[in-house]
Amino acid sequence: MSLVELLLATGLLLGSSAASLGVWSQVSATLVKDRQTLEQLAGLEAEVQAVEARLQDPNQDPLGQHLSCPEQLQRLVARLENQHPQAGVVRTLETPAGSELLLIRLRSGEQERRRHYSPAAFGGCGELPANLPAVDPALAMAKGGGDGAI
Amino acid sequence: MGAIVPRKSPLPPSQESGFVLPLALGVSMLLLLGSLSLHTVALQGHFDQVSQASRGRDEDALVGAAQRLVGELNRRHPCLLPLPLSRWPQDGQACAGLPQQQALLGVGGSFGGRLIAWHPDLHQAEALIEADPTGPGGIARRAAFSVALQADPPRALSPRLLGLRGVAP
Repeated sequence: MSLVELLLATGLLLGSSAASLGVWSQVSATLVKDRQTLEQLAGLEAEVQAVEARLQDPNQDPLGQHLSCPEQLQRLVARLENQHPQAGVVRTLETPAGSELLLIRLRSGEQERRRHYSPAAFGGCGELPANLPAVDPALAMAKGGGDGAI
Repeated sequence: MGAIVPRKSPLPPSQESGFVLPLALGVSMLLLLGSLSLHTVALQGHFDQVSQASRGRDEDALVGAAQRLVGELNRRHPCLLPLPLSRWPQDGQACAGLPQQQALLGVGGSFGGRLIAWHPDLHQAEALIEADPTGPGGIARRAAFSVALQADPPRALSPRLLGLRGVAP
């Protein structure tokens, strides 16, 4: 065993140990951050499901054709304002000007979800079109079948 | 007293002096390979997390497109609700002309997506919707929705997401 060999072996071990330690510390930092992100994403998904359930809850103030679209939008907002968001989730409700849509922003840490809801999609709103022709759904199905691709 | 015989080494001098370096090399390789495999596992977890975030964004875009489409059908073209998509050009003209139908199908429309299929039943319909691709080179995701239908007057209730259905071919 020569001195040169010993020095080379020591250098090799020291270098590989340092590189390995660097990788380990980087991996552990990534794992901690990923775990936080996954928890944030799970919290946001749970909040999305809670919002969906609340908006479609039949026990709340009724929605439908008898309301104007702005009134229906207000009822949707009221449904959510009476419900607290999940822990760690910040929820903001916006009604972009001129769009008659409800924009729900959910934020948890660096993660964000954004969903648009149309008041008219909850059973319609406002007056029905005057030229609405009567279509019997059973007859329509009998004539057309179920395939709808154009 | 016998003569002192010099002790013979079991290995030739060239082999005896060479075991430290290969040992260090082996240990170093083990350390680096272990780190590499750990890094691969961490990367896989990271990709899963990125994929989950992306899936959430895709679902949001598709739900938004479905809400706009169903809202537009309810407000302006309710007679299309009980008709399968293939019969819209023929039997849906009474409440939605071709330009309006084209808009619903995503041609020049502003719904953030397009309707690919509409399969109405007596009490519900199943819709296949494709969201506009996000960003340059983005993928157009598709999702199926279940929509409850009322017959008189024809109205659709809020669409429920059934699940993602792959990407546009």
